[in-house]
Amino acid sequence: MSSRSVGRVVPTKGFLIRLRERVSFLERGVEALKMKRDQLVKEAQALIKELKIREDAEKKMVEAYELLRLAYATAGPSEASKAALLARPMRTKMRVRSVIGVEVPEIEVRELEVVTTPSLNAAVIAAAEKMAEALNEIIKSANVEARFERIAESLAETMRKVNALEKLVIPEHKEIIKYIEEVLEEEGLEEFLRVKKYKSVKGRE
Amino acid sequence: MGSRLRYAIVRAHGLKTHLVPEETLKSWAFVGDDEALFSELAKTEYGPFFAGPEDLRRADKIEEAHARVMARRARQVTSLVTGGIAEFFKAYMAKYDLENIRRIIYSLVRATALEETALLPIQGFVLDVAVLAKANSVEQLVDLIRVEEIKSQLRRWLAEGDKDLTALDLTLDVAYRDLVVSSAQAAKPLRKDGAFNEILSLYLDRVLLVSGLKALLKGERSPLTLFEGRLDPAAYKILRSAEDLRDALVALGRIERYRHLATEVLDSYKKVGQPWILELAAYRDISTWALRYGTKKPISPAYLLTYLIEVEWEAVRIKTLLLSRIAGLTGDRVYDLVKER
Repeated sequence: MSSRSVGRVVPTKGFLIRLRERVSFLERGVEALKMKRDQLVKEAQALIKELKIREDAEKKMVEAYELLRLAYATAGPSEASKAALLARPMRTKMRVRSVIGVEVPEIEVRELEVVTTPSLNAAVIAAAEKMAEALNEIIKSANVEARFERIAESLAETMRKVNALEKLVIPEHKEIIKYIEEVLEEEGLEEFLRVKKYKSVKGRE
Repeated sequence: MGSRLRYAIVRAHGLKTHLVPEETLKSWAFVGDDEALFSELAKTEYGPFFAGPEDLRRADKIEEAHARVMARRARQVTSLVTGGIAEFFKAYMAKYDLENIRRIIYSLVRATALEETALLPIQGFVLDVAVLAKANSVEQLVDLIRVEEIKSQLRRWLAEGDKDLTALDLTLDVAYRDLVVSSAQAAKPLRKDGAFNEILSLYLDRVLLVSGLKALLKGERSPLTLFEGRLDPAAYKILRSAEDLRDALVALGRIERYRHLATEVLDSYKKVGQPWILELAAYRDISTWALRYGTKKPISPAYLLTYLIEVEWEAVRIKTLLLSRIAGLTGDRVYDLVKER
């Protein structure tokens, strides 16, 4: 006999002991996974509120693009080249944080310097400031979304594991334990009868 | 008044007829078809800069046409006059040289590469921008400048030590103002002309005021002290005491000569939440006042200045109109941008 989760079944006392130990280990594992699942659900629920910042970020981005359009109309690309002389690239730091054992990426804005001067067109000044604001919001929103995505993936995986263990692996193990116990009991009974027969034959002699 | 100056003024009246008529320019705001607008523009001095209707969608072509037409017309004026008056008009156009100096200093202070496209093609009125662009440091650039009004102001800015860019912008505005005023004072026919001085002081006042308002927009007040004694005292007091730009505009709106400018910018605040129209509103305001004073005494040097202001205003409006079409602004909005007051 063989099983997908247990492998080849050897109906021996030693194998039975190992299987019993394994079931107890799996049951403790299921408990731990359930605790992890509950924590991940709590974490995901807390993030749902934060996910709403995407709406603000998108709104700010739309406003920034509208201002850029107006800046383009009133100032033109030459003014944009001038503003580019003042700009330095945005500096970010990427790191990986662990939330209940789930690795989540996090982008930290190290430097987002908006340098504008009074000689720049007023629409360019306004657009630059709004765009920087929108970028900050988009990065915050990206962090929350990435965290939520990873937590949701991990939650789905944990739930799959819990279900597989509870509904498939542990019942299969228990069934095999039961089977081995029955086989061993049968073998014990046969042995008992064999010994009894042997004793009666020996007594007659 | 000398016969040469008189001839220049009469010639400016003739040249004025080459400018695009107000109604024509406004009607272009609603021309959606590039082909139709191209055939209209081809009849003007901007026409040769566009090879075909597709060029009306190229911002670089539009900016080039704007700068080249303006430069050619300005040089036409300076070639018509001689001596101190020619020097004055060169000083007036020095704002484009100063704009290029500003860009060179930005690249030196911020250590960013200065692409050729970052400089305006309109230059060379009082400074050799091509030589100055090769400077390796701001100090070297200042040493290379030969115009005392600009050199002394930049030296003072450098002596402050922190190379603050807001202060630099206001310093260059002050240098420009001082250069223009001193060259106007040096030319007797200009010094004596009341209408000319009215237009000039109003023009310089608006230049400083717009920079001051934008400094307020950025929340920077301290460099505004540079404008003391140069900007209109009432406007200066408002800039120094206002809490923010909106507050300053409300206060300026109470003064008759600033009312239109302040109202227009406050309107843009209401509609868009930003004073994005500030420069256009200032140009519109300057043009209106210049026309009012310039046409009062049509045969006076004031008319030459009025003509030059009109040339710039036309170029700005055509550039705005064409760029607005690329940016996808509606006809009504473009019309509001390019209309006269």
